Amino acid sequence: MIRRIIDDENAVSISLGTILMFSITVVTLIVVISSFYTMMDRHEDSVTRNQFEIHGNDLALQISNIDTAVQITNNYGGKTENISSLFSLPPKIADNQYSIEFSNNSKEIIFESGDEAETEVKVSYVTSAVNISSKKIYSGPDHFEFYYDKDSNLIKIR
Amino acid sequence: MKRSDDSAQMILIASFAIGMAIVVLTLVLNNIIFASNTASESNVETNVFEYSNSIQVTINAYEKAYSNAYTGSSINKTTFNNYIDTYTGKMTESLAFSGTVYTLENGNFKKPYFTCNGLSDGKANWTAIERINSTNKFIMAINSTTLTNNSNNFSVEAFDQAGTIWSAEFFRSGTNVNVTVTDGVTVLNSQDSSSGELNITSNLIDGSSFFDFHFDDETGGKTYSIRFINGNKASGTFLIAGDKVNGNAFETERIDLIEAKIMMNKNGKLRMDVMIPIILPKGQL
Repeated sequence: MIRRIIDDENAVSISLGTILMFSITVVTLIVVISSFYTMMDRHEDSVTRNQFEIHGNDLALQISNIDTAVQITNNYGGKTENISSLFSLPPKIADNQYSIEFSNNSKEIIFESGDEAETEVKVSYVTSAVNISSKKIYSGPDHFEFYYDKDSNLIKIR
Repeated sequence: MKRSDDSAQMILIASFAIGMAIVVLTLVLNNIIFASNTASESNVETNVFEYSNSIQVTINAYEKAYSNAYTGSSINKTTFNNYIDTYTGKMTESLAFSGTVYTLENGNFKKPYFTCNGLSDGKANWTAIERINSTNKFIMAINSTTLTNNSNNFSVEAFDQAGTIWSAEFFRSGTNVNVTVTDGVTVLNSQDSSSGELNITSNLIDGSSFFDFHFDDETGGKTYSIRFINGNKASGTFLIAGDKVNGNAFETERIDLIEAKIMMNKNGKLRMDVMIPIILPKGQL
């Protein structure tokens, strides 16, 4: 009886069966692949955020180094002529260009990749003797430089 | 062909499965490779204490060079400069191992002001020594040419928690320096000094003339601090020595001022150029 049902192909013709099987396979494949792409996309965002955090902490450290150096000089009654710190950033992170905004109001370094809000990372920095001149820079150039402007008592970026 | 013959359908399904597996593997592998490739390393200069140490060592070297070159009445400039040159060479060599280029530009001797850092634009109102138990030596020499005669005259004060307990105000009176001593409220004594040389603890003016500064009377038995007011209005030298409340002796002496320019460059990334005024022979408290 069971064998008869298996061998019985009267319900669906061979060509229709093939078409059905093919379309089911295609749909399944698309679902699987797209779910993998979503997963990869999320992974890309998290990698980007991790990278931004690493670079943000580096930059915050360099800012605080300059601040400390200015404080040390002030403690000795000296005058800071020039303090500059060169830093390099990769032109692309996770295959995307990105922007870095230094905000003096919120004392934060804000990273953003493209227009994606999911990748936004804010790293706070601490300064006591100097402030930062607010600026937004974009990835691309090999090197940027923090420098201390003694006239305005600000750390600027060039 | 039999009806139950599946025409290699198992092979077809297997190939589908293999195809899927390849797709999944590629995606997973791609993710891993991608993540590890984007993980960048950082090499940020984290140590600014080397810079702080270098400044302190340089100040100590200047103090040593000064005491080494002091002949009793003046400074032997050649001995002083040789000492600093040797120091600069040694310092450059030793810092080179950590990738730092150290350069020291030696300035000229200047007459110090009574400001915190000795420069004319330094902090004018400042406390030189805190929590003094007794002062054994307090000698000053004031240059009359830089003095003023208005409401913001240069003065030295001894103060405790209650306020000023002793003060000496200095203003220009012709070519002389007028000294007016008060207990914070009332004037105790006043006189012109031709040379501006004052020995406050020995009550002497211009070297040998007696002038009662009332310093010991007003400060005896009290814990006090000494501060300079409007130090930017006068240049000159001073020496204060004594004991603090904690039992430690202190001595600060200001005869000369030198502006040292220290430049440090670490790995070509971190550059620092600073000018440090160094008070000699012993200005750092």
